[in-house]
Amino acid sequence: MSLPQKRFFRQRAHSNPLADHSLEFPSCPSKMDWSEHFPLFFTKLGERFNDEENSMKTKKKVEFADVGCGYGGLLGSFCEVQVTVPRADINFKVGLADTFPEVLSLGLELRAKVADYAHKKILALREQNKSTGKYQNISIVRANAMKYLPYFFEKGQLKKIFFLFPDPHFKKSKHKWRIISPHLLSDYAYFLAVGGLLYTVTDVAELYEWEIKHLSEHPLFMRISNESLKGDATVDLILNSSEESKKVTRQGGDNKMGEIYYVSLFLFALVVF
Amino acid sequence: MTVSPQKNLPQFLITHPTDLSKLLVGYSCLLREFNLSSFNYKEIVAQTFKQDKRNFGLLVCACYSNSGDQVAIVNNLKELLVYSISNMDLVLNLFFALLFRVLPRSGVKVCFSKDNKSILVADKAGHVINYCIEKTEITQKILVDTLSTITDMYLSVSNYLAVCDREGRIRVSFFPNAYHILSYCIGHEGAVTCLSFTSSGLRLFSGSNDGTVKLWDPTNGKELFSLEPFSTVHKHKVCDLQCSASQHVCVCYEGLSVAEVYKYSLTTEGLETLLHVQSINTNSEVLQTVFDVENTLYILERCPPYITSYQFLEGFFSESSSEYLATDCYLSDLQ
Repeated sequence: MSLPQKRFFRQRAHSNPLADHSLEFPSCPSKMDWSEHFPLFFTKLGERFNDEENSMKTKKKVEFADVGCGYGGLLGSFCEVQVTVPRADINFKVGLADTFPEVLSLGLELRAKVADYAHKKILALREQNKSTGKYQNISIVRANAMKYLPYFFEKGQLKKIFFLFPDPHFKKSKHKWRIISPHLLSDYAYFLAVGGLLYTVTDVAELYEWEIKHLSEHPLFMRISNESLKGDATVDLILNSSEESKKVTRQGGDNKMGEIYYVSLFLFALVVF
Repeated sequence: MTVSPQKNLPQFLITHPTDLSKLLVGYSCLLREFNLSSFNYKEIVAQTFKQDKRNFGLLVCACYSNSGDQVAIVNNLKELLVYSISNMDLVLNLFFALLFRVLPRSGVKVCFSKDNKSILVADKAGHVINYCIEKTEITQKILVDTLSTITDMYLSVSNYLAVCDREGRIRVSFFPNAYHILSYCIGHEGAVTCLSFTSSGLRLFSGSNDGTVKLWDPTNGKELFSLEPFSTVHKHKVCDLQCSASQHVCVCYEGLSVAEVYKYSLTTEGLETLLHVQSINTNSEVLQTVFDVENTLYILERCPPYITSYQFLEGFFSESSSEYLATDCYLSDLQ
């Protein structure tokens, strides 16, 4: 199977998250058939794996969620650079699939064509890497994260949640479409386990200020300073893997990389009262 | 709850939190508090403070404060009005429309908090707004924003705030810390139309457009029991349900002239379930059912005699004569 080409899957950047799209979602998280997404880890709903090793796998749950994953860059990409001589300083980990091979990661995307592209890409990557069995732990679902997250995830299920380059929605009347808002943060706090991490990155200064403001004001989130971010493999991934970050690098140039990106890490700490 | 198109017919019933003899009946433009023991009533004409005199404020919902001396009313002109029952003066008038100019949606449900210091209003845009009354100052705060039309809201005695919307989600959070979500009760396949906590606040009943009534544990969102739809042939949407202090649940379906009464109990294996107690047949479509503190059941119908009451005697609900309600509650002189 060959990788899909982006030029056939272009779609408008904005999509109304409050509209009633014709989306499919399970009637509750326990009724979700994950075998369609992670065939190696789950059997069809109701059936059990026969052997010991595989039945351990079915106890796994999706732990990383990429909200608004777009073309699936963070989840996994094909390696673009051909290297003849291996270099120790180049990190060839390609996305969440490789960096966290034991963890199930799910991407959520609202736009139909984009989700379709990412899905076809993941299937192609799996096909191409059949021998090593890579990319079996990532998948994408076309879903509306603002409305239907409770249908996919249970309380405290997620360990990391990513909001990479979300749509800034500059106009005041569109602020309610922003993915980071005080009330949605309560939702994300519910799905994150205690000690779970919420990552945001953007190249828009105004959106960055907005995100910091609402995350700081929310009683259930606690900020992790930028110093402790250095050396975190996930931060590296965020800045380099996703499609948007690659685009910004192409347009901005390497020397501006430090200025453009605002990475913030918020730790979800449960306040006991 | 559906709003009756006729202007002079009763649209909703509210029972008094402590006094058995008082019953609040809401019509299109006014509210009457009937005193069933002394056979008279007090009337509150719902005023409107909008400049446009052609717009009469049609009542959407109302509720008693926990002490029973105040009534909060929400009308379709996005106004929240609070009256003091004893002397029928307007205590507070709050325009919550002024703050939501961008969202031209009106309120759906109103309730008081336990300490009577806060009034919660749920509106069609998905917000639950908390109006806090401290002496003479009124502060407001958006507690919940579900991004979807709220269909019902319930504040339990255990300070759990449950909100359900037309997507089929039930969001249970703490109150007043509504940012701390206790659970999402997911399982309904259509809009959830009505909610009722049990008197202890530890169990939650919900009725939905998919025809089922489900029992939930609000602390973890687990579905404990699901009542089958009324019939397998037609889909009858649940339009109202309420749980009484005696653990009875009365359910009414849209378009049907019967109210089903169930008892919340345990099976022999210890599972929680609803056992059918009786079916109460009425003359016309049942709009609403309410219990009062002594477990008397009031049923509101679309056609005369409108309101019938049933007393709980020896395990069954038997009709008690309520001629007073039948005659006086029907207004023929309103235009």
